[in-house]
Amino acid sequence: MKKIGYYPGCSLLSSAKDYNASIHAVFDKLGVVLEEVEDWICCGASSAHVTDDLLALALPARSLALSERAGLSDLLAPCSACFSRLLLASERMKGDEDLAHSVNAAIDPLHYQGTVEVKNILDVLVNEVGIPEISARLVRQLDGMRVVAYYGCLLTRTMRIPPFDDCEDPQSMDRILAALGAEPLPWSAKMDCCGGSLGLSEEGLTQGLCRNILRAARDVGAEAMVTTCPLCQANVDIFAYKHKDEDISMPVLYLTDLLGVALGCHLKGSHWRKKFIDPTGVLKRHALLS
Amino acid sequence: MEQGSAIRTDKVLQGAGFSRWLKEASGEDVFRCYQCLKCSTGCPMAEAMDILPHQVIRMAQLGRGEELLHSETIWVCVSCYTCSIRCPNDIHIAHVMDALRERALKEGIPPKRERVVLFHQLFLASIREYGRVYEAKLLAKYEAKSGELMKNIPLGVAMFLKGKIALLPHKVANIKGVRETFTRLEEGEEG
Repeated sequence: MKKIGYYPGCSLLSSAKDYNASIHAVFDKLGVVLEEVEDWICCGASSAHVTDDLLALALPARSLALSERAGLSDLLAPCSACFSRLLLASERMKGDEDLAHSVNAAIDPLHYQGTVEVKNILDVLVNEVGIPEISARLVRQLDGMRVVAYYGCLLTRTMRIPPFDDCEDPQSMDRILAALGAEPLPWSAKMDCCGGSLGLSEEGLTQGLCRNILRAARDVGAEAMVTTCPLCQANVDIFAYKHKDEDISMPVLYLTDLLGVALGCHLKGSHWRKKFIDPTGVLKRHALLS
Repeated sequence: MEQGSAIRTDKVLQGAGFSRWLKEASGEDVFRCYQCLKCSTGCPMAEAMDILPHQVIRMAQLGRGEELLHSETIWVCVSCYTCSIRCPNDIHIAHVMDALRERALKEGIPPKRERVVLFHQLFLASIREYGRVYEAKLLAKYEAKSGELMKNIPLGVAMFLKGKIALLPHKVANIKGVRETFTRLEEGEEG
């Protein structure tokens, strides 16, 4: 059995508990053991990097050091923000000895040597598990459900680090969805920003972003949007819920929700009630829920 | 010797000294910019900005720090990295924004978008207290301090009913170590 380090991040313990549950169910079916980094801490998200560069490195470095100490050389961070912060911290420390020294001084007696490979969930599914392996384990097909793959901004914008997928037109999630028997539609907003943390502090500024994303999905005839980022899910789902009258709302699912259905994972009825826009109608229409 | 090198660039908010400081602090060479405007045309927040991203870089070249640090732009930028990834001159513009924000806070310049800064401060305070973000308390505090208490109550209740808000904090075992990291970085800045 394959083993990989797991960094759930704060969202997956609260607002995105359902994402955490479906990830565990899916990886269990795929025969991958997720070993959670013991005593991991918050990555600092946007709040650290907009206020203090060293803090934005030191917070992820603590968790990276713990991962390294536990012998977890591959670390899966399902949240795009966590992934971005952990990856950038790891790579900047690897490439700059003086910087690594300053960060390590701030986290002492912990020490990060730079041996951890930070991975996002699409990278792990496509390159570690592999689409043929996923296909071989499917118990049902998704009946041509018309979906749009919403990647959000940070997943492939890894700056000076080669991305795992194209940074303007990624395909990995579309390929997985096609393998599940869904119909991933080409659309224009797959990399558009949902507003991130400003969705909470300056809602007025980010509403237009969520509206454009939903409109683009509606324009190509999508029945549901699929994402791997808890912040994208929350921002778009909550916007759709608050603006039901605009007739652009649609369910925003995690990729692992659909993978779970196709792999025959047991996801409880309450699982689907975590979303603001109820996805059970779409699932029933395709005979994917009894 | 570089002329004027005796000037402490970290004390200057205007002119060549500011440009040099920004290059040093962000690690980004803003002088490579030739104003192609790709950053501004792709920016999802451009509409809400008082200084567009390409103008930020031009003003950085010219050392117009006062205007940049007082701008609305630095607090409206969502750090989506669209500008950075598209820059033909490999300037990580979003990282330049980080350096400007950090400096504006250190200078005590009142932010044009107070609620953004309040949110970040409460978020970091939550990490310092528990090691992980305690969303329930963070949101309650934010609502109370931002004066938006009534506006978001229906959403908060809906999230609570959906079990999307953890009632208890997840405090990490080595919270002492986490707090030490915060303290060391603060002391480093003072020293």
